[in-house]
Amino acid sequence: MLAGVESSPVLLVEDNPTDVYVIRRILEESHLNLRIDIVRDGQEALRYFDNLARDESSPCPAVVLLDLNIPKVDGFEVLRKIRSTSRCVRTPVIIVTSSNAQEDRNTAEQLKADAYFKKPADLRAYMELGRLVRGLLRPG
Amino acid sequence: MSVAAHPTTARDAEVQRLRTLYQLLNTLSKARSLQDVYEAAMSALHDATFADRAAILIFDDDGVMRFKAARGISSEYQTAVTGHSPWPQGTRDACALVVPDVLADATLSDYRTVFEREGIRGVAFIPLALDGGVIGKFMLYYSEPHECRTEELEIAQAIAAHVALATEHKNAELARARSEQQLQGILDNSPAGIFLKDMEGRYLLVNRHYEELFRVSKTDVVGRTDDDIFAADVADQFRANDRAVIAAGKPLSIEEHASQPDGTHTYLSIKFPLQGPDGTALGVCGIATDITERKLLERAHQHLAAIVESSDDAIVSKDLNGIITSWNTGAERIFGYKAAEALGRPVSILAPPDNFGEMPEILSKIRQGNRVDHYETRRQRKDGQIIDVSLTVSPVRDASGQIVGASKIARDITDRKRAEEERASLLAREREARRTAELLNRVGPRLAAQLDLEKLVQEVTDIATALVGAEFGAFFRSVIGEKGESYTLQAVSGVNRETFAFRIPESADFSMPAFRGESIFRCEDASHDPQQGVSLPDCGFPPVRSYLWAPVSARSGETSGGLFFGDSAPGKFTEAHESIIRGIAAHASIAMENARLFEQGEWIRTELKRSNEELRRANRDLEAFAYSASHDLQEPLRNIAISAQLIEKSWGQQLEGEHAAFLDNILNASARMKALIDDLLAYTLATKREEGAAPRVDAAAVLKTVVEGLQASLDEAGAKISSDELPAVAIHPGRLAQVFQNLISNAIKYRSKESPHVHVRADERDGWTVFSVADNGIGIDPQFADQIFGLFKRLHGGEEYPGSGIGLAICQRVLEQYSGRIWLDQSAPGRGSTFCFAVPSRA
Repeated sequence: MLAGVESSPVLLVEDNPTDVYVIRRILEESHLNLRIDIVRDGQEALRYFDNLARDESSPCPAVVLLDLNIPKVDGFEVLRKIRSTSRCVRTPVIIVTSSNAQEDRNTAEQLKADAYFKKPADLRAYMELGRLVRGLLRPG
Repeated sequence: MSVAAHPTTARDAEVQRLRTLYQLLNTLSKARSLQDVYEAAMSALHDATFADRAAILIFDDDGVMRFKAARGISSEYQTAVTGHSPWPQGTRDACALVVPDVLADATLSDYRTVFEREGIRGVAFIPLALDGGVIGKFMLYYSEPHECRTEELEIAQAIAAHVALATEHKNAELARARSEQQLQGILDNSPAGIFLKDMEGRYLLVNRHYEELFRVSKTDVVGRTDDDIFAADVADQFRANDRAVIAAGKPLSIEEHASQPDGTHTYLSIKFPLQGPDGTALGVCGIATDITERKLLERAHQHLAAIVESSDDAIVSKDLNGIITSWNTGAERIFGYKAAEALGRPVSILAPPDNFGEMPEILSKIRQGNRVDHYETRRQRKDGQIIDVSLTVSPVRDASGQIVGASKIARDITDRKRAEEERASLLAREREARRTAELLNRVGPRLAAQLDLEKLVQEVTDIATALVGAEFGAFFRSVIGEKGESYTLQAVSGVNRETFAFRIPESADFSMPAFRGESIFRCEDASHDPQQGVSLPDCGFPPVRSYLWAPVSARSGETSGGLFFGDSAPGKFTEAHESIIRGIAAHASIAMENARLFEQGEWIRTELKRSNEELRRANRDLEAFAYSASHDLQEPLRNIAISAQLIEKSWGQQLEGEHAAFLDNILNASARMKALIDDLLAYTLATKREEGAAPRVDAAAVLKTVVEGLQASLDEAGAKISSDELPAVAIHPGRLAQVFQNLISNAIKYRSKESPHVHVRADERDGWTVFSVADNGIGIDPQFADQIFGLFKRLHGGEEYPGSGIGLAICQRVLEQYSGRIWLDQSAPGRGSTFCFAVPSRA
């Protein structure tokens, strides 16, 4: 158990149900014991952070897993939003996307994402994501 | 007589007197000159008389008695009494005169002072006489008055008689000698050779000139005959002539020849018989002059005359009044007058009617001693025909250098002048043609440069109209309309186009035949021939009297139109204009053709550009589609794969038989599909052009990166990658990496039982770097060498070796973009493969 972030959830911004399922399973098997908040489109994501801004008591997510290809508002918009909040500006964000495009990687870097994970077609390879998350959750 | 020798007896005196006479005669006989005679006389007188002094005086040629010799008489006395003579010259039977005392004689009173001064008292005058009378006198001078005794006078007279005789002899001798000298002088100085031969032909006499003439000397000739002196034929000639002269009995003038060292000389000999006083012939005398020179001159003169006669040129001489004095055959031929008709006539008969002043002008120049050289003018023949002549007139001088007339040489140059005129006109025509050619040369490029058809036609019309100087020019384009062919006005020059627009009607009464013709048609004056009239509508065109029409044809030969030039003046257009227009029409044809082609070309080019654009767009669309399609397929496929794997993870153990197989199918199929889609994506990405020019990349560095990236699978396969030194090449690094990656992956994939080993090397060839990637894999049968580069072409089933087989196709497309290529260099089943690919060494 990691102190200080027990109440911070993992925010998953993802619309693909299969991916949602897999990621949840990965996080569970990583024994993170964190609540997983799931929003399924960009607009919802923005609203999530708006709520956070209003409610000081709600904690920023411990880590955000952000898909780029989400409806209504795309992932980068959400990332911008996150990085522009006063509270969650330093929140670790992992871009989890099926795109391997260099431009997307560049933009992710520019917008100060902490990691970029391409969704694999192989389940075993998907497990990497767990390690990635755990790495970013360590303090410091 | 000296006083000392004065005789004592009369007999002595007589003996003395005889002795004196004897001495005198002796001396006289030896006397060589008159002076000797006189001296002898003086001595005799002195010895024989009592006179102290004596003198001898002789009448000279003007009848004046002069002192010839004197003893003891001063020159003053001589001078004083010279001329005095008691007897005039020639007096017959003159007697001695004695004046006993001159001072007492009244007749000599004039001379008294002279006598006194000289100391003379008594004188005796003794005449010297010959047959002809008195020739002179002795003077006996006595210092005292003296009466001459008879004996004194007798002896003096005897001396006088002898002296007179001796004087006469001497005079005669002198005269004869003088005459001989004169004769010899004549002979020797004569410029003619003079000779005298006797009847036997022996030379009696030759003069100096004869010696010079025949190069002989007097001594060799005199006494000899011609046979001894000259060659046989010459001697015969001379002898024959001599005989002829004697036979004729009168002088004959004969030309004779004799050869000299310097050639044959001709002599003119005047020979005459020498007759004695009784008329008998004594010999032949001859006077010969060497006329060789004269004969040469004569021959030269004849020759000259022959030249004058045979000359083709007219050689005419005239005096200072212009009267013709000589007229050769050439003149007869050129001017038509016979010599008889021309001689004596004034030279003005030859003057052409329009130029009478020329001849007097020429004559005045001649009078001033000037020559007129090669002066071209015209003359009139006897038949009235005017001819062109070239004259040379020179003054003719007489022996003293005075100008007495003129000599004129005239050459008929009518033919030459005609030829010159022809040549001049030929040259003018040639110059005209050259000018036309130059004009066309200049015009040609200008027209050729004009690719806008309308502008071209206008330019052609403008240029052509200006060149022929027509009042106006027009270009008509032939138009095939419903009624057949007609002409539309396309361009106009010289008149304002706005004032009209018309069509030349194609109708029966349109009587300009040339519009249908294919050659240039020129009309000098349309008003003369109604057939040639042109009906131009009445809309601003000036009336046309002369015109020029030139068809302009297309390359196919059809007439595409024509140029029309009109002018209100008749005969405006010439042959020269025709050739200019012919040239321009030709240039215009070509230029118009070019303009049309250019238009077509432009159209084609535009079309091509448009289709290329469309093609490119279509390709881009296709690429985009292929990309987005394969890209979009990825996501659902991933879903399938993940889902299937989730099922397997959860339920895999519990599935059996068919269901397990179904699940396997799904897993396998989705894996394969993923590979396919990945490859497709890679392929579409590979065909996308990289941005920007290819940089120079270090192939070794790129290979290193690729190897690092493949490290996992390399380790798994136990593969080893080695390379030689690799150069820098002109290719985007990502692309080069793609090729290396594909080839190495294949090498690993298709490995043999051995641990895979891949060796990379590079060669530079003609600006290309050829990499070779050699492996020790399973090898490829060479007959499939091309197939393996096909899209999705595989030589092995998916079960044996995974993969879609798109790798090599991708490599090919990538390298195509750098104009490079890839090929299977060598391979054999079980022997590994070497793939080569070529990349530009430099951009």
